[in-house]
Amino acid sequence: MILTFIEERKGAIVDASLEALTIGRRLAKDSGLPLVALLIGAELERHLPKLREFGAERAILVESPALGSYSPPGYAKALVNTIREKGPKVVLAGATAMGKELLGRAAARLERGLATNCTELSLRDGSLRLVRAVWGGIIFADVELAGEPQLLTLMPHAFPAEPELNDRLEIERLEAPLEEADLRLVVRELIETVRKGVSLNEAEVVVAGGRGVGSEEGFKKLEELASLFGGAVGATRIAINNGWRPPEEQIGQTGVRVAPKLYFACGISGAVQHMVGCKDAKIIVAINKDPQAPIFARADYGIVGDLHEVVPALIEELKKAKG
Amino acid sequence: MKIVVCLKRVLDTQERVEIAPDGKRLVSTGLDYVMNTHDECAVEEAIRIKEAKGGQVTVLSLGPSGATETIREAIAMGADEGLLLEAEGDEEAWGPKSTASALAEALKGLEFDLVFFGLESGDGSHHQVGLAVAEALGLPAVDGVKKIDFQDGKIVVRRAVELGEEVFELEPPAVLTLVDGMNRPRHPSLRGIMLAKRKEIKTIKVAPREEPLRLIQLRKPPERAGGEILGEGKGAIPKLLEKLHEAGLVR
Repeated sequence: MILTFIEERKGAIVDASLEALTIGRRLAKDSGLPLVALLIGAELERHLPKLREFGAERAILVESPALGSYSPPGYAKALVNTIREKGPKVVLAGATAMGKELLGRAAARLERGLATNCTELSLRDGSLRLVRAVWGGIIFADVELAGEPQLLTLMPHAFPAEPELNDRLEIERLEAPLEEADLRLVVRELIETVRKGVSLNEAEVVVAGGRGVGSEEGFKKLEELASLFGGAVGATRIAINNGWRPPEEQIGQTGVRVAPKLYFACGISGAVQHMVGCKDAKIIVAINKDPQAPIFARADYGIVGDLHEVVPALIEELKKAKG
Repeated sequence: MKIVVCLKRVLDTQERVEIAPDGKRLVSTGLDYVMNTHDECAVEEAIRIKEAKGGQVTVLSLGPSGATETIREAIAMGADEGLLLEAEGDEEAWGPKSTASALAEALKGLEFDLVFFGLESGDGSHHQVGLAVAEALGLPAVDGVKKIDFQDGKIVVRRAVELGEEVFELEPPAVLTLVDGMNRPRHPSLRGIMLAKRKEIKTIKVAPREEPLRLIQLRKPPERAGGEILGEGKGAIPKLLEKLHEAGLVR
């Protein structure tokens, strides 16, 4: 079987798990193996319609009130136990904080290989060919795993989540042989990030600034431009290191990756370490003083000029157009 | 509080990223090695805890003999001791399994309350060594920690997740993997650099085991195609607005 770990947050299945189900379904069809979704936690039946919608053939529920709050070792035990009992050929999870952690623990306990952050996968002559994002995504590595099960985490947004209804979902329940020690580490609290506007990950428009912005103050205009689009502000590593913006706004190799409809790169040279974080944007607009900046070779539209003049003027024009 | 920080040196790819003809590594000629970014924050955090509560910081690194320089950097920042696990064989033979088992073995011989790792390495980006070491040693672990507080003998940590932060409470001994951005690592002082130079770094030779993950080849991801320069300065704005209008992004 192809076993897909399904992550639940705030009562809903996360997108990364739906992406994993979609790719798992493709793998199941190519290999003739059944697609099985694994849910761990409490009150799991509410998620069954979503699993049907995404074409799972079977759902394994490891349900216990003790698993109502996330416990890394407890969930790892449930996952490892399921793998031992069912002997899947492949185990998939989205490369979220939870997915990475659980598959990392499972790989150690089962003494099996784990390919993290996969961006592509295909079945060739009965074996999986995988592509991993390494060096923070600036390099791809073609890799293979020996032995079974093959454990993989999938980079979020690398695969589309596409529904395909299967209304004959079988349901199976498994016990988790939990001991007290497995539940010693339990999440106490989830503190959700309170944001002024939209999050960087979800923003349809991102206005990012780099060295050329020059100061914390300089980002004010970028914020204004972002707000006109209902978008979010991002920054390069240099801008973060200079203390102009908070670390969570870093876009690139060691930061977040975004895929907005529109990306403004202001005073950003366009180093590969930054570009890896924004290359999936639909349209990139670069504003930079240096006509030789590499960003102009990667952006859809470039304006050669001082962002401190161009951005305020652009704001004025946009306001005028809005009326 | 005794803390062991596991760290890795990685190639500094800020200047150039070029794949070697064998497709198995990056060209390192002319490039420097630097401390992995997440690990640098782990060193800083350990030193801050030592400064606040007393104790000792030991840095542990697996790598070629040249990695002693990275260990010395951590000592120059304020760590007390360094231990190098000198990796025998080709550097590429060392995957996450070999690395985790050599580190776990070495940690069995060290005294500690906490073991810190950086979240993941900037090169292989496997994101599994810290967790595998914790599993091998049977220690509680929290992955992706961005804040550590001490409350009545307990350690309260916050870790970054997609929605925000998860709070966990644990007791030492424990393993934490820490994320870049949780602090701003200090620059070593001149005195620290001098001290680190004279420091003896203990070395133990270690051999790799078989890795289930096999690298076939490295390659560059496809790059975005270049585009169109609309013009210079403010004068280019009408043209930009036209383009954004065509794309349905402005009215």
